[in-house]
Amino acid sequence: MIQVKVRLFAALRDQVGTSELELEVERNGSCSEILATLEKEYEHVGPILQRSLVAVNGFYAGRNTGLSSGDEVAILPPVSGG
Amino acid sequence: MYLTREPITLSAVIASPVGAKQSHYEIASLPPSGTPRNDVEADNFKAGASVLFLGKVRDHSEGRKVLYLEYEAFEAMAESVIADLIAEAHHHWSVDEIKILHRLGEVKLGEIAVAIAVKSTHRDEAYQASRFLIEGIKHRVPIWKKEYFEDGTSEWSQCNVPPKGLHLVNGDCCADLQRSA
Repeated sequence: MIQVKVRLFAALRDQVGTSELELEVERNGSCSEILATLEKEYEHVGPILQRSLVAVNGFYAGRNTGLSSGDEVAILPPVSGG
Repeated sequence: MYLTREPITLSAVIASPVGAKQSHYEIASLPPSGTPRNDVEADNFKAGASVLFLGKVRDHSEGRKVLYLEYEAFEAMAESVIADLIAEAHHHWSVDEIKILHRLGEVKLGEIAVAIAVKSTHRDEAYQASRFLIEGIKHRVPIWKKEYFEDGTSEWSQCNVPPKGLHLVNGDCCADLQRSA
């Protein structure tokens, strides 16, 4: 298993109740496993997760992007700046 | 730095440092006071068009009275995505200078939430680049807006709906996102 830092923002952060989590995923695991873990462990986050984008180490990434130990995965709900 | 917790002033957005070469990525420099006019370089006068877009906090949202907004960002990434947007604008249009500022934290009614200033030789490039930049900010930059209403409730804004007929790089957004009051 490897450990990654997960950052949560806005509505998702409010629903989970924290802005940062440390999660373990399988070696060769991907962002989608992080999303699946969040959906399993926290109520009512499914709809937001479905509409969220992910970023790995500060760059937009696909859900199938593989993770390495120490990576920072940000879950980004639909943005609403401007 | 494109994000700021301080009120955005017009002078911060439209003033160029007199006599100073300005990087395309540099923003919000106030002109040095007392700089004599004869320091101005010829370069500063090549832009015949200057388009300024200001996004301001309005007092209503979907029929409800808004008291104020709060903006949150994934700051490091937001800064780099805005820098990317500026680079893309320079790639697509011949513009001389772009400045962008976006507020974070609490922003009151009527205050400037986002400011985009684009200078170019002719107006068409400046208008097009300005439009590209505001749509990019609204759809690609990790910034979120929370609306605080008169009835004491607050909600994260659902998404930015693109104007009709406008093609977006990043597609549509969040039509079915549940409300998270």
